[in-house]
Amino acid sequence: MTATTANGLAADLAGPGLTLVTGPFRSRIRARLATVAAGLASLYPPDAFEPATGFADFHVALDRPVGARRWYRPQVRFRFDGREVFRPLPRPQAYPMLEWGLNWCVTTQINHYLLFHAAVLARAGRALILPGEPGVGKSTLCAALASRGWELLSDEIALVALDTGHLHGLGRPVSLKNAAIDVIRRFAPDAVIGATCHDTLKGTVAHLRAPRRGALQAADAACPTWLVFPRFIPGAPTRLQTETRERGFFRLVDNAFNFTTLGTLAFERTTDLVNRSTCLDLTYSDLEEAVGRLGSLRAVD
Amino acid sequence: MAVPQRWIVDPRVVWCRVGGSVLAYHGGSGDTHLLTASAGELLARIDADADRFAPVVDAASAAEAAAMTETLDALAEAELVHRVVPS
Repeated sequence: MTATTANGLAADLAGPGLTLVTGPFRSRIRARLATVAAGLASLYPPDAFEPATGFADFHVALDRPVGARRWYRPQVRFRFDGREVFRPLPRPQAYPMLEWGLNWCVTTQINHYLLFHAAVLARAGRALILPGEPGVGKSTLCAALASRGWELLSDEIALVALDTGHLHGLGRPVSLKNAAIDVIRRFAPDAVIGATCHDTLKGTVAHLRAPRRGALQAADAACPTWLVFPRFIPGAPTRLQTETRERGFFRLVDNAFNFTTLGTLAFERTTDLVNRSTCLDLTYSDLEEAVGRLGSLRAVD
Repeated sequence: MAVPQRWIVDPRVVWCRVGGSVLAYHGGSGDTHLLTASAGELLARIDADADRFAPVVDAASAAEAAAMTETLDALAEAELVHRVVPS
């Protein structure tokens, strides 16, 4: 590896590639795009990068398509194991495409963890799991909690170990969309937010660098303790109410990526997770209040 | 004299108490079923005593026998348990 500056990363990405270590996964990345190097340099800690040697879970590349789209309305394409798995996107979206692509790698290739569409944070080794489909406000809430002392494990994909049932960290930036970008800028003025990218399929997006502590400890695991289903509703008062475990189970399974693939093992691990957690339903519009309510949660042993 | 019906839990079924209910997962179909606690108790009794369990005989009253039969029919409908046909 040359260095972990944007220029150094750009040289490695354009040459032999580099290994991005995020939680338990190693991604081998190649790209001849300066915006990708700049994004990686600004959003990951230096110790997330390793030379392009040894085993990697995922081999990905971002490059320019051949033909007219190399120059006219230039595009970028994402390749996994040499295969183009998405349609090309406008080239300014190269960095978000890398993050989305890495999410795709985890959710489609990994079955040695039980995976849920959920943000996960932790406090003193106890995990707060926030499942939800896109748009419910979980990434915003996740970013806000991470800026107020919670350790960020993941904003998008919960990794549940099949043997222990513990939550493992993914060590990736938080994906912020549209109004949430300025909301977090106001809520956490010291937060490091990468370049803003407009007109994507998800609207305007930007990524929040994981606080250093979370990124460093991403390999640690946390015990499932709170299972909270958040929903942002404009103007709604903050309400944190008990959810039944039965409903909690089905709501969680609705957000599973590989429940069917893992079958009985997934059922046993999910029921165990639900039984070990306090299940709650959160509706909010005031981020400060929501963070305060979640901050006052206590573990029931 | 009617032969008492006997039952066996589908070996692909696992179940677990969650909250005040029982969730049963069928490893063949991949379906998860939400059951009452009493249905879960029946599954456990059948599984623990598959050779002897015969609800009509075991029930303390006719009303209890009817309730158990109704629950067993529902479990059978969900393919969680199967009737054992007397040989």
